[in-house]
Amino acid sequence: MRGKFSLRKSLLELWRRRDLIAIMTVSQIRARYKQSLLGFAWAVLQPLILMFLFTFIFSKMLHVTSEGLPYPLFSYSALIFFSFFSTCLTLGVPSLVIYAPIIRKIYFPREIFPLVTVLASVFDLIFAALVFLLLLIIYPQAGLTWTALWVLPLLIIQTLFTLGVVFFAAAVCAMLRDVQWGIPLITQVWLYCTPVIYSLDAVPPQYRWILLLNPLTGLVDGYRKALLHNAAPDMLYLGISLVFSVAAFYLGYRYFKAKEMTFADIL
Amino acid sequence: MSDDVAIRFDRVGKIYHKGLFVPPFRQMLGALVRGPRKLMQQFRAEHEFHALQDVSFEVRRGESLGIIGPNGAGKTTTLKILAGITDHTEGEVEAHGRVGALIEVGAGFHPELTGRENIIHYGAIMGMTRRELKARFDDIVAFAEIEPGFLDTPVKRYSTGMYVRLAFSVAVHVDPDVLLLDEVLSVGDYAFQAKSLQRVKQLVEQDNRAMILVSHNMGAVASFCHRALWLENGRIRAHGDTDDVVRQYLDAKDRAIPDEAEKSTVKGNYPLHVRSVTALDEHGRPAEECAHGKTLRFQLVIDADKALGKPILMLTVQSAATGLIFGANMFMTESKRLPIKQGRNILECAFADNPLTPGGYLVGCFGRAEDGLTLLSPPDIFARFTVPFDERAFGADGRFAAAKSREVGPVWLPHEWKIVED
Repeated sequence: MRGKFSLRKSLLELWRRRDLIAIMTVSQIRARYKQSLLGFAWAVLQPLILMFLFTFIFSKMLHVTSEGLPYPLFSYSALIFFSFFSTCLTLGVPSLVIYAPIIRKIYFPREIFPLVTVLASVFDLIFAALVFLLLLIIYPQAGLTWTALWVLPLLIIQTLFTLGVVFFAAAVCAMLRDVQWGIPLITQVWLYCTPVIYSLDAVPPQYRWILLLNPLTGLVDGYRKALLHNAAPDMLYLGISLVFSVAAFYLGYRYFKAKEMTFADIL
Repeated sequence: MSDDVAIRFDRVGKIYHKGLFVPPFRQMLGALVRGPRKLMQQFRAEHEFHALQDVSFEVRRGESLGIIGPNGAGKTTTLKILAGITDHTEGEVEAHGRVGALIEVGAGFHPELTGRENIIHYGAIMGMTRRELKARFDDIVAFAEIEPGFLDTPVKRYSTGMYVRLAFSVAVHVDPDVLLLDEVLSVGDYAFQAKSLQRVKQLVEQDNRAMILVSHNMGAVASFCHRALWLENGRIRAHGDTDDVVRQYLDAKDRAIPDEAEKSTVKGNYPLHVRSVTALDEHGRPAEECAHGKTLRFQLVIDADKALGKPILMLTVQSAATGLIFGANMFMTESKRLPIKQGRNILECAFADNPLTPGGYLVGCFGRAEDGLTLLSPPDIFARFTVPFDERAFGADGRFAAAKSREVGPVWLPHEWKIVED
């Protein structure tokens, strides 16, 4: 019989538990790569293989335009961020189910489980980003300038959005395991609804607003502008993404906290 | 309500939904016809049950409460509500200060991580900050008696004893205001149990913490809970002075003979069943009172599923105030170990000169196989008796003038005082 949702109180509680969050994040990163052959290479492999695949299919075969840039660079710059999103979903959504034995025996804020998977995935993102720097050396058509710093605020917005989605889906997944099996399909569909393979500029203007309902659209477009075109993100697109992301975070978190006390009983 | 109250349950109830969380697909199709609201109502009613109902109690700081009762009585649910793991559905719950709950030893341990990593990891889960962990790390390792070499070994390679000692050690070093223990004091070897009890006792009595202990072990409850609560089917059967509640519980258990067979299957298949232990007076008649200084005799009725050779039977005498006092262990007198045949065995165990001071005592009994390790029956309390205060018999030398106020302890031994130097 908990009181009403208070964002401030919930965040304060998380701040008090920051040591736990840090410790769990580190041990999750370690556990993820312990006893695996390729180790951290896995973090890079997924976006890299997709990049080769997409380059061959969409650039070489279907001649999709890529904003005047080499297609590998064009697709990889979006793929690393989309991979971050899909990894968070894949690992974060079933996190409550995986940690059910602890949830039934010990209390601490339950959102820490999905939160930690998201934080640990940032680590993967950093590795994938290092490969991007290599690509920049291979393709001198683009180079980083100060506009690249736009990546940080964009990444924060993306993380907020991701957390909102993961909180919501993880809470639903605790009740209905079907969600877990739906995740691969959802991420696949989401990939095609985000301008990763194609450029937002290539989308006819009358359909563009549909894509912009997806907060990742404005973000991916922003990443490309900042990293490849040495420009600031489109402020309208970014504004839409920001509003939707904050709303998603708030609603997802609120839903999670409303369901939190039932997890121990239903898992 | 006093400021000293650490835990307060006020008419608390909890409704669980057992089984499925959502109606099966077929019923959901039916809902299209009859309306979803009606379906959900019907579904709920069919699948809900009261895990707790109308439970009220308080625990003050510096006080410990024992919760006893059969399996499924709502004991663990009570602790889980207090720990914040699950929610109650009726009434009010208050818990003041940091709550440290040890519902299961080792839950929260990561088998792949080393002992050192697990202390940090588990400690943080239990609510300690990095700074606190650093400060208490050495104490935790020392208390758990982990050899330095093992600290950097993954805990999956630990022996069960080591694993459990480490988990328990972290939990008691959290330094909670409210400590909740669920059936965890029976872990580890005997020496470690004694140490754990000591530590928990110190937390309650010296550091003024509140504690709730859930246990099937009447000895543990009797030895250090100030009050006891007997739960059954989610309701309070009795609540009050530990001695009273434990006695009522044991009496009810005695009367419910059919439960006996069920109990042994619940606790695992033990081949030895202690049916009863009865204190006898000096004339060999069943007695509730056993006089100090006279022969102290117990009759044991034991059923064995098969002939067990010469097993090691253990009879223990304990008290609510001080815990285990002494025991009669057949192992110590190997030549005198008695054969246990299939079917009913009636034995007697006698102490020549009852050294117990006036008060109430509990008698426990269990058996081990000839190897000295395998448990043949689970340790449990089977009888209680009192040593009466009898002025006629002991008044002359004033032995119990002090014993009455529990200052000489549970056992009185012959001794002599003299002046060595003026």
